[in-house]
Amino acid sequence: MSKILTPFERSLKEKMNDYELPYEQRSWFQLQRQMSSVNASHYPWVVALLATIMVTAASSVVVYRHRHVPSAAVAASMNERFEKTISILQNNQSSENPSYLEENTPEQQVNQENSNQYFNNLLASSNETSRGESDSYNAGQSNQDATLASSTDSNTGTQSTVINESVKKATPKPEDMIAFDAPVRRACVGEEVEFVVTQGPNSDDGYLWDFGDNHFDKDKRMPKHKFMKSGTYDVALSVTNSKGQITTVVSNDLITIIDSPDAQFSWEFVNTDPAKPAIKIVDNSENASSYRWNLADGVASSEKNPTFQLKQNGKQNISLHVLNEYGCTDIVVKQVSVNSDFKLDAPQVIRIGSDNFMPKGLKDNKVKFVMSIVDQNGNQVYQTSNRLKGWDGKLPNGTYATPGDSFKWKVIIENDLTKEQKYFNGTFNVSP
Amino acid sequence: MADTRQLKALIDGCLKGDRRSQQAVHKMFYGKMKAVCMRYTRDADQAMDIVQEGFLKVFNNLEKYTGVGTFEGWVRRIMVNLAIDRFRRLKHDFVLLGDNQNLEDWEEDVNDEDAEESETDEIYNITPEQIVDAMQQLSPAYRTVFNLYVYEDYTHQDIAEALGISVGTSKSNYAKARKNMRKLLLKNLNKLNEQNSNTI
Repeated sequence: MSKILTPFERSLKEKMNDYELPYEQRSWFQLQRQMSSVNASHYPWVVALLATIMVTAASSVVVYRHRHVPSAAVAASMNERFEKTISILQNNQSSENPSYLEENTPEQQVNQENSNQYFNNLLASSNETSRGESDSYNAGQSNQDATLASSTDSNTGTQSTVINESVKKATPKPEDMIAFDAPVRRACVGEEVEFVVTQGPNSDDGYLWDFGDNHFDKDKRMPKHKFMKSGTYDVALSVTNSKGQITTVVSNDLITIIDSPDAQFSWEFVNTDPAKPAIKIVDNSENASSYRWNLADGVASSEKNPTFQLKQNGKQNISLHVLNEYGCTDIVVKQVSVNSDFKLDAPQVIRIGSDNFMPKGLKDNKVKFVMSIVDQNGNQVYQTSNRLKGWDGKLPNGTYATPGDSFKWKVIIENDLTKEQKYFNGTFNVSP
Repeated sequence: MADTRQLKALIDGCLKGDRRSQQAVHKMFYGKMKAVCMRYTRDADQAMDIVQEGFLKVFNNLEKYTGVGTFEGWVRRIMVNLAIDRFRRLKHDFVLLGDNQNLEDWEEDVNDEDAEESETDEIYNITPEQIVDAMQQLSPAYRTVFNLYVYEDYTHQDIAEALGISVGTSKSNYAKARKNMRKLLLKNLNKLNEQNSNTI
């Protein structure tokens, strides 16, 4: 039976449609713990013991793994470290993949071998959750039993022999080893980043990529991805083999994405002679370290705040191309116009006592402008922004302009929204 | 929203017990589900409990998702059902229809309120956070009935069945819940308006 909601109810409902709270990483860790404890809840103390050993082992193993810039933003919780370490260790077991071992000291090697055993055991038991009807699944089953059977005396030595045995069974086969890399690890926001599988099945099938920014891709050996926010990203690759088993390898802090600069500028007219329009650029770019200015007429500059002389008439583009120190770029183009777009219809002659100088185009339209009038010696004699107050010929010293004098005028009109300015100029005479 | 191809790949991964896929699914729906559960509970901690339990259920029962309807809808139903279960386990605090009150009276009440609604336009400017805040102040019975009726599209018949109450009880509690919601929201708005006028 359908029902009709009142406007009040409907509004309450619609408001909540897209409402979403921020992600909380800790909730995942909690959930993960709960999920593991469901499997092992019959033997809580074994799990606790394993966990303790793993905490010790993980902290010694994880350190040498990552040589990229560590990200403060990535809160490395122990749980996640386990997960990563497991996959790293899976990789390390392959003699053909020594890349992670480069910086190991002998002690670490030993550590690593010990921890290998524990992690593999964990890996094997976590296989229990898998639906795959595979050897490894069975191995996992028996591992758990074996561990439990022998660990009653809680002697570490006993533990490790049992686990040792399980390692043999659970060691992934060479064809399940996977590794990947990104040729370029630092990129700009929106730039395409390429990933390559360096070890793994030759066909594209079965690959699942997690780029760490909530975007995924699948069935590709060489995916490309654009990161749209700055930050450091963990990238994970999971491969499902023909038996349905999944191997995951995570590369922590693999990709660093840098904010692109934001190109912005404005200008002001700085000329005193109305006949020679010139602009001074005011750069408002963010995160830029180098500048390239280009004017349509071929003038260029790499100063931060250059001054440009403009042509007498017409519109022209000014482009600003900025780079930051990492080479990320941004471009903005604006247009400056001189005596263009419309006619101000300014008088050529005014008669003192009966006329005011105010171009008809300004009088009839409400636009934001500044009009200045300059005498032959280059001194400003009048300035106004009021369309109803034209110049009546009165000079700053209180006298009036004499017939025959010639004056130059300039008008700068500013667009309320874009703040872009248009420039107009001309001359007029005072008639008797 | 994630495209369906992505989601399908992730669900496949979850079915095979892959933790990365599970984490991705968790990441994808956590924020939305927490927002849903916030409406059913008194505070964020309670909401978090349901979300956690809900995701456990999602991952443990994934093979039961048939692909009919959206995955998000399925996950959401799990959360809502948990909220209902939890409510049923608690002592009910329904306001029962009085002897001298019958359904016709109730319907008149509702009609009166509709007239009143059109006059309070500003109530439509409220934010989702304010709605959640008001919902959390309702009594558990009002909150559950209001949620099911407005947000889950339950009829009073459905609510009665889900909560084990009579249709009449569902209706009267809903009417009261709605009245309270409006009161709480208006109070909130007035408080805000006062604050704003003080700062100016």
